[in-house]
Amino acid sequence: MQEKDLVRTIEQLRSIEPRKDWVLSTKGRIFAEYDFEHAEPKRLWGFFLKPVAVLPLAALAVIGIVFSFSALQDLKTTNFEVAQLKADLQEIQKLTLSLENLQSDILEAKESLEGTEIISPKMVLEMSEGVRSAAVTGREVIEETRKIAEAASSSQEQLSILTSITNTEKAIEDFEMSYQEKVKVVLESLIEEMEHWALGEEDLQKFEEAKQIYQEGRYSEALERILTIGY
Amino acid sequence: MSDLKKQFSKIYDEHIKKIYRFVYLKVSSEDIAQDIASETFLKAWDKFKAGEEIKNMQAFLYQVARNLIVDHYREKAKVRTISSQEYQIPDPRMAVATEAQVESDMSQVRLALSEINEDYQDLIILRYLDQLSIPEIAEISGKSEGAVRVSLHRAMQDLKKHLEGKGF
Repeated sequence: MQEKDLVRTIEQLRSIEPRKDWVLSTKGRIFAEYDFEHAEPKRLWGFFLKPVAVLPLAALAVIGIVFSFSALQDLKTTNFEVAQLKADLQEIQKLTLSLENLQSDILEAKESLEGTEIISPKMVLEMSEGVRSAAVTGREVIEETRKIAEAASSSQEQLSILTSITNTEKAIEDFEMSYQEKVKVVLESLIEEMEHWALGEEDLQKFEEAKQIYQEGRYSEALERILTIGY
Repeated sequence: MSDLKKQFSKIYDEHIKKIYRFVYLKVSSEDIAQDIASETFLKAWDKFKAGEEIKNMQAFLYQVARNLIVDHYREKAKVRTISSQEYQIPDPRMAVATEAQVESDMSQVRLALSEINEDYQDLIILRYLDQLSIPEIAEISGKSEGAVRVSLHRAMQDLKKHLEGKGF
């Protein structure tokens, strides 16, 4: 075999090429993280450019709430005889005051959350644990406080603390909804952005599933699903 | 699109096929070739966006790909086997009658290529498939231009010998 024939045969191996969809999706994956971090505000994150309050503020507020809840948890009835509390108006008043402080903390956290500039979608998910544990602890405290209130002898004090409980429950719900709204907005922009991506078969399936979960209103789950794309 | 992204996007478009083929011919698996080629560009992008100096991007990409291939074989301790099915590289433009012959030739060359030593494989792929110049290959392989010429000649002789041994 002549060398030129050998070279010609070797050159035929140039027909080996990667799949076009893989080439495109790999490129998308390489730039994905960078895009999230450097997204042009007007195009992707403009809606978050409210008075700038960054993550640490929200995180501090959430941590603050958890601390408040921890303090309130000391008042749980598990270590108290309900009978002893029945006549203890001072304790009821103290609880009412604590619940009002709790509402105030939640409101502050909610405002921080709403003003937080989201740097990356992962950041929203990272905040979820703080929000969830704050809400769970808050509801536990409310439940225990309700038991004390029901056992209270004074109907006036009962009314006062029940009103406080209702307001606190509402504040926690608003806080959770505010977080869900944040997730929803991030999710919607991601979906809009990714509609233009050339995804491989597997990633496309994940994307379709994420959209379905989004339609069902399970925003955090949908966001988690989307963030698995490309991995 | 940011300038950095635009610049790297161009680099990616320019080299992805070559790097993929370079890896594919050495690992004989589409999945593994995809993984290694992706990782090669991810590493290059990390360095590029961090502002680290890359004097010759093409040489850098081949070097990274080659290191990843070495790591792959070292970690997995895989024995390369090439099945006859992996030889099929259809080209729809070819007439059916000639296609079978060409495929057969390519398969033989691929098999022979996989049997010669790694350095020789690299030289043949870089020179005759990726059409790199001798100075470019010298930079990638870390050898002098003279040494590359000599090694390339030996590589072709070795490949030819392997092919002749198969009755090619």
